Amino acid sequence: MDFKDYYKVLGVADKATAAEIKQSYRKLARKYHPDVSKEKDAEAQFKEVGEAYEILSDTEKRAEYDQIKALRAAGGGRHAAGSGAGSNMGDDDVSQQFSDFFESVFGGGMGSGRGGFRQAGGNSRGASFSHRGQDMHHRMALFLEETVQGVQRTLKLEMPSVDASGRMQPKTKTLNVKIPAGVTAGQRIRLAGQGGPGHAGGAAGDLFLEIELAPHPVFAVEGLDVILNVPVAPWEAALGAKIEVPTLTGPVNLTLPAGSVSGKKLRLKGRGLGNKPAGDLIVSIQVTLPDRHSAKAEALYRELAELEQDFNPRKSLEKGL
Amino acid sequence: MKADITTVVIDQQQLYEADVWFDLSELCERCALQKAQVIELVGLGLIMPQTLASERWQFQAAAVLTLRKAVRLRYELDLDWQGVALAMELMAEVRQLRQQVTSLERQLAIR
Repeated sequence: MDFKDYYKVLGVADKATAAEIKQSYRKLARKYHPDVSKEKDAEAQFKEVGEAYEILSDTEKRAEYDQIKALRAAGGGRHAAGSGAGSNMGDDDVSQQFSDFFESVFGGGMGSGRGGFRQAGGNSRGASFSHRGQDMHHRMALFLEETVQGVQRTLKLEMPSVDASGRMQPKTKTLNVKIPAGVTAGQRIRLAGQGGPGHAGGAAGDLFLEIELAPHPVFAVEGLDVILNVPVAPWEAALGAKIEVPTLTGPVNLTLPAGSVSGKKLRLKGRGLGNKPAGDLIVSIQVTLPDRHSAKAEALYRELAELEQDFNPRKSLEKGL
Repeated sequence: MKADITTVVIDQQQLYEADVWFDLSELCERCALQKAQVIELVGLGLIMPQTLASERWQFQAAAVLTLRKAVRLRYELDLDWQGVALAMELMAEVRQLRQQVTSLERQLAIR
């Protein structure tokens, strides 16, 4: 097991004051917080920073840690450290298991009774009364097609669990979840009783699934509406056309009215996300051109230019000239 | 270890679970918060009961997630509740703006 230099993790000197440690922790916690950080290994870094702060911000734990560090520097072997307060942050998406090193030094027994938050004095260590299991939270990214067709997903969740000797042992729970059509981004679905197990006869907690949408190569999403850019040829835009466009449930035929300019939006009712009520598919028309025109096509354009020379497409800009 | 597989089928009703409400005590228990703290967070607009004027506040189930996130941020970033409320508001805004950027980028890409 690697020895961890918590001072290095926080980037402070061994003799750093409590204020310096706090300041450094705050800075690093902000930098690596998984909710805000875009750094690659933010979550691991954040855990390590939190672990370091857990020790160094507590006078007793820090003194104990300093002793171990000094012993080790003097060539001492394995330590037999006393048990500190067991720490179980056990939150959901950021799995807050501390490192082996931390567990070996500061014990890994039942920490706060509910394995919940170590905040607001909620450390009911060794509580023997029954209490309900922890509510858990899991983010699930779905493809747009899955949200309109329904989908089945297998989740592997790490559950807090107590083994025969009363130690907290994370246990993997496999959950097959069938999600019906009609889920939308940001939706939170509660699965009653699928969270952490209760303690001493208490009910199990709930599992909250939070739905996210994976970016789609063709469709964009705004609320419940799905937006599709449809390129059309200038002659289609001018004369109108019947065009086939993809939707989340398969292609449909669309009548493009004559005189459709770029940016014109056509709304296909009920072909968006959700179903209570469903959003719309908004087709946004984009007039495009072939990469190259033939000589004949160019000649036709020239003819058209002559024919339409009264048309000033930049009339609206005249005020700026 | 033998795999322990449970199948859960979510029905349409659950998708729009408007009928599951938690009262203040239940919310406090689920989030390991004290009543005064939840009241403060309601004051900061982080969560809203069904009817603010009601004597018996009822919160939608999803408030649990919001509060848990708030507690986590408070502890992990060493913020006060006002800071938490501001951070969560800004995070929601960033998220929404990112979505908008993605959506607009998609629309521009074709032109």
